[in-house]
Amino acid sequence: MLEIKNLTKKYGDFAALSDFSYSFGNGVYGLLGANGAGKSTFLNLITDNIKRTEGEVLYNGTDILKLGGKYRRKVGYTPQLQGMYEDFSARQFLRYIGALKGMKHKECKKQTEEFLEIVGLKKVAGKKLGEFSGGMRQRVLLAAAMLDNPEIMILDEPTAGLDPEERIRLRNYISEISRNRTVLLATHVVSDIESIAESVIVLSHGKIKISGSPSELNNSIRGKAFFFEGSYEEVMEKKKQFPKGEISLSGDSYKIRVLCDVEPDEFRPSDQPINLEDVYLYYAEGRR
Amino acid sequence: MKELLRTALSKKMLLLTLLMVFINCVFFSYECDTEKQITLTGDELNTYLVSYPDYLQSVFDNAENMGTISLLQGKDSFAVKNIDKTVADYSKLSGKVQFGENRAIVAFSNYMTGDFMMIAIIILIAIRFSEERRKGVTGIVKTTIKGRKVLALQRIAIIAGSAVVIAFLFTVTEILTGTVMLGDMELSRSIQSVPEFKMCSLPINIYGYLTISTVMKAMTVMTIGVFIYLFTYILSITPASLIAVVIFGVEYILHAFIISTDRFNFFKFANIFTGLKNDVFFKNYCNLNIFGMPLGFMEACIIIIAFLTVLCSVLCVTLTSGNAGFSIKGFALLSGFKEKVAAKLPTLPLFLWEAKKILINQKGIVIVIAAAFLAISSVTQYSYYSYTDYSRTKMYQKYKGPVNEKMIERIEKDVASLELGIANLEELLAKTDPENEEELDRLGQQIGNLTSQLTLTNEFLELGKDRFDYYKKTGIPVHLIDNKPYKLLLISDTATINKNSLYILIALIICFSGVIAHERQCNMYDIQRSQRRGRKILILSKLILVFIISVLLSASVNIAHLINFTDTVELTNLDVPCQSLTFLDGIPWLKVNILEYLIITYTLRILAAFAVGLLITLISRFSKSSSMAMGVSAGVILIPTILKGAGVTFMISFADFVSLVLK
Repeated sequence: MLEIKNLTKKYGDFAALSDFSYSFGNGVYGLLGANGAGKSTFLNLITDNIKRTEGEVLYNGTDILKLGGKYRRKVGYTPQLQGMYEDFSARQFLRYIGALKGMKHKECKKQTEEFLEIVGLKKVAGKKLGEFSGGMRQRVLLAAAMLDNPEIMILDEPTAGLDPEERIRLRNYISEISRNRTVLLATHVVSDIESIAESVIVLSHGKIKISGSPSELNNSIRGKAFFFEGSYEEVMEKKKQFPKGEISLSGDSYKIRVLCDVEPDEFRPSDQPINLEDVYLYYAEGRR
Repeated sequence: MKELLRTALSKKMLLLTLLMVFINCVFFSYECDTEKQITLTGDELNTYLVSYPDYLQSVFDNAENMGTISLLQGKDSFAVKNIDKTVADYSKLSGKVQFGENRAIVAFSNYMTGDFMMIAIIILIAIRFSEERRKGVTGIVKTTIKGRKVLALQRIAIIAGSAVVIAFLFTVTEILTGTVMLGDMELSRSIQSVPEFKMCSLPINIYGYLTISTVMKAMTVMTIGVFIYLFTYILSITPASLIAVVIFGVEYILHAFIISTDRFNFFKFANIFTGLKNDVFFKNYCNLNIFGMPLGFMEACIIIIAFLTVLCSVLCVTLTSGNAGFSIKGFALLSGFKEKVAAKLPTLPLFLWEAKKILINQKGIVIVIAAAFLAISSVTQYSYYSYTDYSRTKMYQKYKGPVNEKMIERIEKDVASLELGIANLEELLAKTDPENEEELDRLGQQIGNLTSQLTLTNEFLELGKDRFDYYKKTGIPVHLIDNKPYKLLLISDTATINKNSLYILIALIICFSGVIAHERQCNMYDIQRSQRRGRKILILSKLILVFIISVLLSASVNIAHLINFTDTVELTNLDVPCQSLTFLDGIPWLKVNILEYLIITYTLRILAAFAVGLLITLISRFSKSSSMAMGVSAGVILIPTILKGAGVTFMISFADFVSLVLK
C-alpha cells in the first residue's frame, strides 16, 4: 500500500533520515526512537510537508508527489506539536479540519459529533481549545486525524500528555481501526505500541536499526540481559561502569540490570523476560 | 518589575508604542495642515483680543440681570447658586489676553485620533494580564507568594504608570509637531488668548491647559485599562470584547450626540470619551445641577472617572485575590445555550472558516470597521469649496465642443469685437460732458465689464490655441473644459486624503499580517498542508478573502469620497476625451473619455489596495508570527509613505505606489 524506497533527508551535511526503505500494509506500525532519531522527519516526508533529498514514497505504486491532493485525502495526520487555534472550540476545530479535507457538510457534521464522542470530548465540545489540557488537545488532534476515515493514519506521539485511562482507550481504538488501514505511530513510549503493533521499526540517528514484530525484536536480544545483585555501595560502583543500567530494590539488596552482548564480570544472566523497552534501550539508546 | 518588563516594557510593546507615537505625529501633522483655516489669525484675532474684556464684562452684566430675575425663585434655588458660582468663577480671571500663534493649540484641542491610539495601547497592555488565563496557568500564578493581591496591585500600578507615560508622550509629541509646523505658541499666554477658549473660566495659561487636559486623558486611559483588565480577568476575550464594545459604543454615542446644553448633558460630561477629548470643558462653561448644587462639568467628569477607576481597581484586587475558579453564572448558562445552538448549526465551507479566522478570531472586523468609520467620517467631514465662478462657467458653455480652427476663429472674433466695443466706449467716454457724472459712471462700468470679459476671452483664446496644438499633434479631439473640479478630485494632495490612505494601510497591515503567519504561530501549518485542500485551495481562499476585504475597504472610502465631492462640485463633460483635462496631456495613448478615465482610476485605486494586501500576505507567508509580519509590513509599507509625507524622497516611487490606495 505505502512503499518507501531509499528515502533520505539531508540538512546540509547532516542526514536527518538516511536510506529508509520499508513497505507498509494494513495494521499498526510502531516507530520507536529517541528524540532526534528521525521519526518526525520521516512522518513529515511521507505527508509531503518537507522536501525529500532522495528516494521515493509510493502509494499503491504511484509517487505521492504525483498524487498530490488525492494522496492527502487518504491521510490523517496528528503532528507532534499540538498546533491549534486557541480560540476555536473543539467542535469548530474538527469542522474546520473537515472543510480542509473537503468533506461534505452533512458528513462532516455527523463525523465530528461521532469522533467527539469516541475521544470523550462531547461534553466539552464547545469549550475553547485554549482552555484544554495537553491530553484533551491530543484527543482533539486524534479525532481530527480520524475524520473522513483516512486509509493511512500518521500519528506522531499521540499519547503525549494523556493519563493512563486515556492511553488505554486510545490504544484500543487504534487497534480497532487498524484492521483495514495503515496506522503509523511514532513514539518513544514503548507501552503504546507493545501490545498493538504488528511491526516495530527502531530508528537511531536517522537509520533503521532493526524492524520486525515485537516478538521478533524481543528474540533478537534474548540472552543479552544480565544483572548484578549486592549492597547499595556495590551496585552504585557498578553503575559507574554501566551508567545506563537499571537499578531496582530487591528485598534488602539492590540490583542493577544491563543489556550487553557479552556477560560482564560478576553479572549473571537475567531471568526477567525481555520486553520491547529492552529492545528500544538496546538499539535506540545504544545501551550495551 | 518582571511583570512590567513582561507587559508594558516588553520589546514588542515598546516598539508598537513608538510606532504609534510616530504615526500619531503624522496624523497630527494633517490636523495642523496649513491649508485649513482652523482658527482666527491676523486682524481677526486682534479684533477678538480687543473685544475680550467686553465679553468678560458682559458675563458679569448678564449674571446681574439674570440674578434679579432668578431671585424670584428664592435664594437657595439652583438658578441663584449657579449665577453666583458663574460670577465667582469668572472673577478669578485677569482678563489679560495676548496675540500669538494659536493654530497648533486649536489643532491639539480638536484632534482625537491620538486618543484612539492611546486606548489601543492601554488595551493591549491590559489584555496581556489575562494571558495566564488564556494559557491555563492561573493556578500556577495563584500558588506563588505574590500571585494574588500583590500581583493585582502591581498590574494596576503598571496600568496607571503606562497611562500617564502614554498621555504625556502623545501630548508632548503632538505639541512639538505643531510647533515645528506652525511656530512657537508661547505657552505662558492665558488660555483665553485663543478665541476658541473664550468661555473658559479657569485662570490658567496654555501650559496649564495642556497639563490639565493631559492629566484628564491619563486618568481616562487608566480607567479604560483597569476596566479591560477586570473584564478580561473574569471573562474570556470574546465576551469581554463584546461587552467593552457595547459600553464604549454607548459612551461614544452619548459623547458625540448629546449637545452641551441638553438637559441630559450629564451623560455627555461624565463620559470617558469626553475625558479624552476634553476640550469641551475648556471651550464651554456649564454647571450641572447636582441635588440643587451647581457643580462644574469638568469636576463632574473627573469625579466619575476617578470613581470608576477606584471601583474597577478594587474589584480587580478583590477578584484576583480569590481562588482561580471565578466565573459568572449567567455566562455559564449562556455558553451552555450557545453550545447547543453550535452543535445544530451547519458546517461552514473553507472560505468562510478563513473569513471567520481573520475577521472574528483575529478581530479583523473591528479593525476594518474602525478604519472605514474613521476614513469615511473624515472624508465626509471635508467640505469642498462651492465652485461658482459664473463668468468662467458661462465661457466654458459658450465654447463647448471639440477645439478646432472654427472655434479658434470664433474666439478671435469675440476678442476683436470686445476690443472694438471697448474702443467705442472709450471714445464715447472722451466725448461725454465731464459734469455728467451719471453717464461717466455708467460708461466706466461698461468699459470695466468689457475689459474683464476681454481678459477672460483672451485667456480662453490662449487655452484654445494650446489645446488646438495638442489636437494637431495627437489627433485627439479635445474639448475646452473646466479642469478645476477634476484636479480637486483626482490630484489634490489634501491632508484628509493622505490621512485616509494611512487609515486603510494600517487596517490592511493589522488584518492581513496574520493571514499565513498566524498558522505557523499556532503550529497549524503542517496539519493544513497534510490535508487535501490544505495547499492550493486554502491559499486561494485566503487570497480571495484578502481581495474582498481590501477592495471593500478601499471602495467604501473612495465611494464616500466621490459622493461627498459630487454633492458640492458638479462633474460635467464626462463624455469628452480624457485629454481635455490638461493635466492628462501626458497620456495620449489612453483613448477613453473622462467617465471611463474615472472608472479606470477608481478601479486602479481599489486594485492597489489589493496589491498592498497581497504584499502583506507575502510578508506573512515568510514570517514566523503575526507580530513579526506586522512589523515588517509596517517597515516596508508605512515608513516610505510616511517619509514621503515628511518630504524625505527615499523610496518615493514605492510610496507613490502605496499611496495609489486612495489617490
